[in-house]
Amino acid sequence: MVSKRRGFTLVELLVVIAIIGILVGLLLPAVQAAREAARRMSCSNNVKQIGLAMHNYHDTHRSFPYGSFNLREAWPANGSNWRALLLPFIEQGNVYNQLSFTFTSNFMAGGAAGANAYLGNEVLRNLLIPTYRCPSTAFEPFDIAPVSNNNGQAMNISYVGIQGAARPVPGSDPTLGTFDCGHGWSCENGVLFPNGTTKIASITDGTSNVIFVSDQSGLVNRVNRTSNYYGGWFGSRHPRRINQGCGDLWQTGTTCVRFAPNSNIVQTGATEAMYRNNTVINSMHTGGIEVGLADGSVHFIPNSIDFLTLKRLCCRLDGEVTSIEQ
Amino acid sequence: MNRFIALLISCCVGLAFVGCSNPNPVGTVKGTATVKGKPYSKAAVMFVSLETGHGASGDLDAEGKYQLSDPLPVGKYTVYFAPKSIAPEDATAAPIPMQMDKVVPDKYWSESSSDIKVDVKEGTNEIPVEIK
Repeated sequence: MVSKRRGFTLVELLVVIAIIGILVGLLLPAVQAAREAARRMSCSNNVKQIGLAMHNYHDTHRSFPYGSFNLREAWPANGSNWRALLLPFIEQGNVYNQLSFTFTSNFMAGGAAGANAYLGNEVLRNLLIPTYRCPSTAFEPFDIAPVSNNNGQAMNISYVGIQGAARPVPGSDPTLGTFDCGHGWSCENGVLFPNGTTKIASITDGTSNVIFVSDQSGLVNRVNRTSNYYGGWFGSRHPRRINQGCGDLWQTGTTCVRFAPNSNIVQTGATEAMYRNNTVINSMHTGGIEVGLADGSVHFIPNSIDFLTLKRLCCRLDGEVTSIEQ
Repeated sequence: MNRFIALLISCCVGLAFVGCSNPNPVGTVKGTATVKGKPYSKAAVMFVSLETGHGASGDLDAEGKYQLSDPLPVGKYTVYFAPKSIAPEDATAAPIPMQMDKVVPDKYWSESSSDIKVDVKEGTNEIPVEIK
């Protein structure tokens, strides 16, 4: 007697499974892309918050913050950068109030700072500031293996201030920059340069044509090369502009744009171990990076942006009104 | 039927190669650096394009030979020297200032003053760097 219940044959089942497999295969990349799109949106929100904080800082102090500064020339030097100065304006006032901007305190996360590491600023150890972290970043919140003198558990900050653009930049004052053969260009033709401040009035190109903060959350040759030497909260090595030709002129937290976004170049030889002044602006987003303009707006610039246009966008006084929409 | 299947397979194979032509040709670069005719070893060779901002570097070995770490998009590049990368600092000492070797004139240590301009072509490039 033939059973009335008819089951599926093996072939039918295999066909169904194959179709489901193909559908899932089609869907998964789309889901991953949607997740990355959400991360990118969150990242651009962080840049927006930083832009707004910069403007609130400007309203309070009548200028944008120091790109980086130095309080004590003698080693271990002390100083910090815009990331610390901006803390009260991104609702981190309680952290800011615990910081110590004195000659004897220190913002360096270990390394050659020795016993002075984070002296008076211990609050920065293991401190995660969500606004300073891009969700797409390639890095752990804190370095697991201590690298480049960050053994004080400083957070891997994902955003870097723009000092300006390295020579040659057409139109920009050629004296506004100092070269150090090892550490690269320090420049002053942007907004967040070392040991000085800028007002909106001195951004003669117009605030909507100048980049002052950028994503820096990607890998260079598969390695961390962000501007987080000594942990990302430190300032500039020297309290003034010095011309050494070659020496130890370096800053943390800012970069002078010298190379293309997301490029793989290292600054001193193929196996560079350190971070330098001209750290590459990069990200793990698909095809480009998020940048903040001095008017507080956020834009996504593609990797394929004309390099000269990018350099002009980083200069506040090149005399060329370069629009980001091209 | 067999001819139809053969046609189908050749179409599929053909489709698989669509888009495989290389729109961004690159070249690998290696060579030897000499100063006044002698092999030079105390630096790294840097290639950077002032137009695109792309570049690569390679340390000079004892015989003055270098090989760039990454293939470069073809185009014009400026060549300059940079100090070799140094090992991470001793955890207790102050940072060691970088050293510029005085044998090579100052202008060859920066892309903005160097006058060595080279063309990187598709494929393998052998580019000697000669300082007089």
